[in-house]
Amino acid sequence: MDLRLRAAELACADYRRESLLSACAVLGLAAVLAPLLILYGVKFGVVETLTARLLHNPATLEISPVGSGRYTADYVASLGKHPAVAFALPRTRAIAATIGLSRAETSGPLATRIVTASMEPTAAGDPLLARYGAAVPQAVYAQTEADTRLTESGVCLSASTAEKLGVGPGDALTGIVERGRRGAVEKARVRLTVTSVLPLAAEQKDMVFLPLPLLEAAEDFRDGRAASGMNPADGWTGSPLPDTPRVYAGFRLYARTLENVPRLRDAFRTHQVDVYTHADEIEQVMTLSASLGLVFSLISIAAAIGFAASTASSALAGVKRKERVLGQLRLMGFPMTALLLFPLTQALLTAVVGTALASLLYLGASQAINIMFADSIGHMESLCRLLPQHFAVALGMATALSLAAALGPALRAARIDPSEVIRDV
Amino acid sequence: MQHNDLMYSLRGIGKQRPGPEGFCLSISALDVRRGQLIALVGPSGCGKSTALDLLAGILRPDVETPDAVFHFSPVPEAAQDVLGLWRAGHGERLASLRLRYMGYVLQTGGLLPFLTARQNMLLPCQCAANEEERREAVERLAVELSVDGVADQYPATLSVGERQRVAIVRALAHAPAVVLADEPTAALDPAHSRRVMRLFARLAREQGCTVVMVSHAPDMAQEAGFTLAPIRVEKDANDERSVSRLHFSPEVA
Repeated sequence: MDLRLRAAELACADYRRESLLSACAVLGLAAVLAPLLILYGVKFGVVETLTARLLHNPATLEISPVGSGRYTADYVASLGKHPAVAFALPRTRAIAATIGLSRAETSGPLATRIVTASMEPTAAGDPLLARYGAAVPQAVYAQTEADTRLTESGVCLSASTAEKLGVGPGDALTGIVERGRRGAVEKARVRLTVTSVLPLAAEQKDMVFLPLPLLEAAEDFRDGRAASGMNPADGWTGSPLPDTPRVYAGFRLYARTLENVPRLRDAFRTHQVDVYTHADEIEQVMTLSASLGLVFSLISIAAAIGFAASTASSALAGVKRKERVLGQLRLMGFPMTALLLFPLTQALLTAVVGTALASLLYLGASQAINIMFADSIGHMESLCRLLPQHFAVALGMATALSLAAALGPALRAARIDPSEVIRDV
Repeated sequence: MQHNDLMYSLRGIGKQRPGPEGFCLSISALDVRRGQLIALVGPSGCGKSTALDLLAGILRPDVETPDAVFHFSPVPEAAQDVLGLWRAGHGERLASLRLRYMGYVLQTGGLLPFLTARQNMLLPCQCAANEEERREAVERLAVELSVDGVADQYPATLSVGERQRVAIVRALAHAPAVVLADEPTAALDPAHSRRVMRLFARLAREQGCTVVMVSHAPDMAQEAGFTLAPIRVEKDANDERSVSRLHFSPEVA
């Protein structure tokens, strides 16, 4: 067997034989590390809980302009390509974005009821629909060469809209857009099929989510124009559309992450676009996280310095105390590297056992903390929480620090001159 | 006499020890034949242990003459130039020579406290990788020195005599070419000491092992079969420093 391995084995035997002193070293590490783990667990748990609460609601990531503006399709498309943006879609004027809905069948108690709802544009990748697993509605177009008009469309309903209409996914609806023109009320219709229904938690108001072309058609119709791509036979008539590109009153935009929300708000602000965001709430959590992180770092640095100093001094004391044993090993013919490994092995043992003990203490404490504060947190949430990789990092840091602190004493052990230490003075 | 027959052959080697209790050891000649039992004797403080440490290769010698020689030949064909190894900084090579070819008995406390007596005795075999072939021999040595009954105890629970006998077993355990012993029985009462030294000499001879022992009891050593190699202390005429001189070369004498 390799002599270095043999020396490590002897170091383990010595560590076991001196179990009392070894236990002191282990307790010394655990006493430093356990509070740090608990502190970091609380920091991580609190920030995670608050972040999860924010992320639970997709609206936290939403950014929408204040009032109406004039945005081109290209501008909104360029927003959508920004790395901080997950989703962006133009929105028509709110006043033009209402639609009356009724059930397609003509009989039954709810047949004649018309529910007026606000329309929101949607498309593939909509985070709100994705969050609740709702299928994204698609427009259906005529498939002949001469006729590419929109014949019907899917629709995603909010819970209240679906409830008032008494419909669910797969049911057919008629959408009715009205305008007053030359003293008369004109109506345009479109066939709709319910693709999905959002739960109440997602949206409380009477809302429908539709493909953007339908919102554009409704806006054009209300402006007295014949919406392109719609069938005039269903009432979509009026004056021709102007040649100028369409401008939109607003947009629906979702940031990719929480951190992106304040950044995007600031970017919009520099371009003189006022936006509604949840940036303030997000910034509160981020500030709390940063402050706790700073406090934790300061405490960790102080603890690390103290631990390194105590490890170095106890390793040095150990080498001094055992210099006769080390001298005997050298006299027997062990190489210097084997002597170097003797104190390092013991430092490693202390690091591993100490971290294990600290982790056990942490687990007990975190259980207690989570039980004590069980009332103020949700069922799936925990106030004090660490991931497996956090324990791995703690072990890595404790090991690296222990070995670094023991290196000086270990070099001293390696250079021991047997002729000076093997005899009683 | 064939050069091959010499375990150690030293010429013009010395060691200065600085400080108030410093002294000067001068080895003008030291030839130790293979299988010979030598006892270094002399007044206390004359540098007997220093000589032993020089032979062990744990103390770097001073060179006194330009044609200084320090040969160690654990195997007849391969003489190791110890001076050359020191000059080239090959301390690790010297360590591996100790591991394979040397045993060392200290006056007291030569055992590792965290190993049992048996583990201590077998450790040199494990390091020299001959544990399998030597295990029975080590058990026999332990029986001869009456420490087989305490083999599973730790050194702290052994008597001084038991510890020294375990140390002797350990020194012989891996069948070394040479055993260096520093007053191995000095800590024992005279009767016990005499008996252990006789046993030590007999067991070493049975293994064909060369022994260089430091002794403060020349009569006891001689009685056990050791050849005495006296170190003589001379006062330096000029600065009143003492010089210890060792000249032991049977074929020259």
